Order: sequence, then structure tokens, then C-alpha cells
Amino acid sequence: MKRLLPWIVGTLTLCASATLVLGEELLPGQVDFGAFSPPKGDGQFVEVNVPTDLIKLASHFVEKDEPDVAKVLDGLKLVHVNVIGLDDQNRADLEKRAKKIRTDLTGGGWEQIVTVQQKGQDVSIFLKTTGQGAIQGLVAVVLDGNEHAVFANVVGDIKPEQLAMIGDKFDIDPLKKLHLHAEKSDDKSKDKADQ
Amino acid sequence: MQSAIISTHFGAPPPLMASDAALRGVGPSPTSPTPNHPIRTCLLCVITALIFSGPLLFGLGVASYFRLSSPTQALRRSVMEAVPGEWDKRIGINVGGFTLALVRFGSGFFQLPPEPKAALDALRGADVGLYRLERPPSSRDYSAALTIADKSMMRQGWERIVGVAQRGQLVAVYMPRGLRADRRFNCCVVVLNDQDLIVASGRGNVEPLLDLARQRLPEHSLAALAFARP
Repeated sequence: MKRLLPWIVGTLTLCASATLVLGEELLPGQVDFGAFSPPKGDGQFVEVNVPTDLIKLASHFVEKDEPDVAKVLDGLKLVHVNVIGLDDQNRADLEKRAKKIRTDLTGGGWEQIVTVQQKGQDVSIFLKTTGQGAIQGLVAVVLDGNEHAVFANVVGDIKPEQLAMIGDKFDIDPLKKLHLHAEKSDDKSKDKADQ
Repeated sequence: MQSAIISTHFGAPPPLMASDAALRGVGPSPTSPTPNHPIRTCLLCVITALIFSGPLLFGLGVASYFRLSSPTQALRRSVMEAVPGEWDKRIGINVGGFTLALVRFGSGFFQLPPEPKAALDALRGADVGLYRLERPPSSRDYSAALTIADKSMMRQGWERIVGVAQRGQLVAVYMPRGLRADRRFNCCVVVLNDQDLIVASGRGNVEPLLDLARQRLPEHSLAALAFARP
């Protein structure tokens, strides 16, 4: 046992170092978009990262007054939103990255549930589910004309229609806008159906 | 040889060993002066040390009001490293738990409006530093500032919750990793507005603020409560 002890300690140290170097494992339904840099000029850059603990705290707070909201929040593990203003320097890179993310998600078992391409807007929403149908995560990739790119990842049991509520409750504008997009596309589809 | 023997027998008796005295039942007589008690001696030493170190402690206490906390300092250093130039310190204040406890105690004698009272009840410590860049920065590349600040804060166990950069302004909010949902908050904020830099951190108990928010803002969005909390 005494001879094994240095080996055990060494192995544990190596494992701990590897964990630190390689970083934490991604949650099921979590997507690593990579690091984004603010545009060089006066372009917009917003990054919101709401971790599990903060979501739990928020859920704990609203559970008395808004039990439905608390229930939705209880199912969440992470909310991550990136908004980057588009300019001549970063447009090509961001478009390329959005394309790569979409390709990776499609190939990684994610289901594309919303696709909107009109007037320079390019919206894609992906959903990751387990074999039993439980939702693990949601990703929204939006290229809003020449204005900005949005990369959003909500990890946990979340339905697309609840996304806007999350945006409203956490005051995350891009998610609220997704709600508008959804409404607009719904209206248009209704109009088309009526015609 | 004879004289040596005489001096041994009739000279001053050799001091008794403690064990010998104990065995023979010999001790100081009631009329002899009592020796100094060791506890009393220690007490005197402590009191003397306190008297002499009092000014030093007072000086350190006063200095601590002007020394920012460790995460705030790390955040300030990161931004200053990323935005080089001559930074002029305007204000640097650190108010700790002891001072705030005194203020809370003192405020108990006055009728305060609910907002400041809730803030006082919530806050357990805060520090803020204001700095100004003497000349406008040559470039507004805040990605370096965010990257350096993220790395520096990560080493201290903090992660960025919010980062906003737009039109010469940079705002970043950090919270400790593994925050527990026990109503304790701890956060660090940096605001860079063109030439002005503000770094601040606060720690305390969020319960009084939440109660006030619940009373005053029943229909307000969760964001105000979730993000205003730390």
C-alpha cells in the first residue's frame, strides 16, 4: 500500500491538472460558441452568462408570486447570450462562425425547428432532445442584416415559446426580439393561410 | 582544607531546588513578600503592548479605508493594463463590516426611509475606486480589457456574468463561481466610460433588498432583481 501511495497521489494530481487545463465539461445541451471580441469601433457587444446558481436564486425569489415562471426557471441550467455588432471587419468572420455552428449542430443531433430568412434576417433555432423527448437545450443563431449577430444558448428543459419569457424575465433583449420574430412569422403564416 | 569545610557548613545555605522544597514542605513564610504572579506579569505586558501598538492599529485601520479589496484591485489592474496611460486616482474608499455595523447601530436611533435602511441592512462591505485617464485613449479596443480582466478574475475564482461594450463604454459584472443560493451576494463591477474608470465591489445579504423590491416592484421584471442583487 505504501508503494502504491505515490502512484495514487501522482495520478490524482495529473487528473486534477488535466481538469484545470482542459476546462470544465459542457453540460448536455450546452454549446461552446467560442470567445467573441467586441468590435473595434463603436459597435455593440453584449455578453450575458447566467449560471445555474443565479437562476436558482431567481427561481427561489419568484416561486411565491409566479409559480409558473419558477417552474420554468427550475428546469434551466444556463443562459448564455452573445450579441455582437456587425461591421466591415467582423461581418465575414461572424457569418462564417454562424454557418459553422449551424453545421455542427445539425451534425450533432440537434433539430432545427425554426428557420427564417427574409430581408437580410437569418434566424435559426435548434433544439436538443433526449431519446425520451426531454429537452436538453436550445440554440438560437441570428444574423440581423447589417446590424448584429446573436448567439444564444439556453441549457435545460425549455420550450421555444418560453424563450421570450426568459428574455422578458431576465431582461435579455435579443431573446425578446426572438419572440417578436416568432410572432411575426406566426402572423405571416396565418396571413398566408387566410389567403 | 579545614577552612573549606567550615565555609560549607556555616556559609549561606545553597538555594533549595523546587522539588526539594515541595518534598520538605518548605515554602515562603506568611510574612515574606509575595512573588510576582506570572498571569499578572503577562497582563501587564499585554496592556503595555496594546498601549504602544494602539496608534499603529489605528493607523492601519484608517489606511484600510483607502485600500481596495483584492478582487477590486485585480479588476482595476487588468483594465489599466489593457488601457495604458497616466491614470489619476480620484477616490478609493473601502468600508468594511465593522464600520457598517456601527452605522447600522447608529441609524437605529433615527427614522430612516425604507430604501436606505434596506441598503444598510443588506450591505456588509463595499469598496469603490474612481480613476481618470489624463489623455483620451488612443484606441477603444475593449476586447483586450475583457480578456485580461476575465483571466485575472478567473484566477481569483470569479466569473463574468455580464459584459457590455458600446460607444466608448465598457461594463463588466463579475460574481464568484459556485454562488450559493443562500441570499448572500458578492459582486465586482467595472465601468469604463471613455477616460473615467470605476471599479467597485459589494458584499452582503440580499434578503432586505428583496423584501423591499417585492413590496415596491410587484410587477417588475426579474432582471432588476436578479442582476441588481449582486
